[in-house]
Amino acid sequence: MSKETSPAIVIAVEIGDAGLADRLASLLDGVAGLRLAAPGEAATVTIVARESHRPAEPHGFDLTPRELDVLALLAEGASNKTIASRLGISVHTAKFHVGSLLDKLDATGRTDAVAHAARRGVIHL
Amino acid sequence: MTDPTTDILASFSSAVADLVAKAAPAIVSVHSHHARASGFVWKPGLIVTADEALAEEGEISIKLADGTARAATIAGRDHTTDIALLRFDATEIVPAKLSPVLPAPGSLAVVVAAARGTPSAALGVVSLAGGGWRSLRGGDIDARVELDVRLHHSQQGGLALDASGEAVGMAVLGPRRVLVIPTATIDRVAGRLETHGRIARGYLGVGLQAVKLDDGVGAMVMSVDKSGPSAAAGIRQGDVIAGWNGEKLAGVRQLLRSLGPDSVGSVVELLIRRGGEPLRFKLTIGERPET
Repeated sequence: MSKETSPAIVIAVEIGDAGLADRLASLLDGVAGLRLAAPGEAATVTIVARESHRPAEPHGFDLTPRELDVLALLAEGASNKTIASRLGISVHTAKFHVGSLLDKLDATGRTDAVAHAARRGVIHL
Repeated sequence: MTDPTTDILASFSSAVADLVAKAAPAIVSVHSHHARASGFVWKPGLIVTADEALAEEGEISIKLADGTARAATIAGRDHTTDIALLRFDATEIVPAKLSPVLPAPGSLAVVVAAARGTPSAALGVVSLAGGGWRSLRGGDIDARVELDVRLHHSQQGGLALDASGEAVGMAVLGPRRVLVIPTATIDRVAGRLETHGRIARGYLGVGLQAVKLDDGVGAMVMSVDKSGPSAAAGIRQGDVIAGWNGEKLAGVRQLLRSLGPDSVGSVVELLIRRGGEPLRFKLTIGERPET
């Protein structure tokens, strides 16, 4: 059996991060000897993120695990300093996460972020 | 004959410059750690500034409009409304006069701030003026006012003026937009910070997880602070809060709303499901400790 007649390796990309999945898909596209799996097609190989797969939010509300931690603390009314000490990060980094979280919430027009946080995890009141 | 356009622009320009010059004496620049912000004299010896723009630790110095620097101490800060109150030792500066007027959308707004003791200004329009809202951290802000101006970081905490020079609030940076913390919120929060040094929050002392019940929603107690109010009331891990003061629980967010500054010390009746059986508990709301 020659190389030319070997069936192509079918690769599925199952990564929650849509941006990363897109980049991988475009890099793999066009590589000889392999092709991307069609939706629902059984794949030979599946690429998953090193972090456990997190299904996309049903409401188009994609937050990183760190942002979810920050959201829960914000819901408790925590200051940046409290968020930093509770998560073991610097105040500067806490501010960064709060900023990107607010940006995302703002972009998706979510006003019930606190309710969202409450549904996702434990809130300390 | 002079070009009338030139006259209009020149008079508009000098009118704006006059507003800034009139407000400037009450404006200070605030320097804390590596952070630079603006603030204004709210009462003799007291400065209001943006909490978000104030460093978490370290010394604070302010520079007055006359160029002199002074040390300042924190009288209190409330991150839920972005208001911080500073004390300093000069009482001769005339405080800024705040107006309760809510600016109309589309009207002109001038932000007067300071950088290293020198006045700075920004001009734009009020892009939105609406009713009260609650910040993500749970602070009650009396009106939603957004400005279409470019605000530098160091201008956070400056005064937002309307076209007649009335100060309508403090300009701060929100996510992707410039917000005004209105006069009513400043007076309420800064007043409380002046007398109490903090804005208290109610505390139950439990970790709660929202759960579905047959007839609505509940909040399951996942953890109990052994020295908290819930433990004192006899609430245990695994209990489900189903009602609050005779009403069915609408959600965890409703609990958050019920734990404002005035809730501390009040007694509430909780309807609890323990192993499916309804029980009633009286709980005295405590004050949330700062962690």
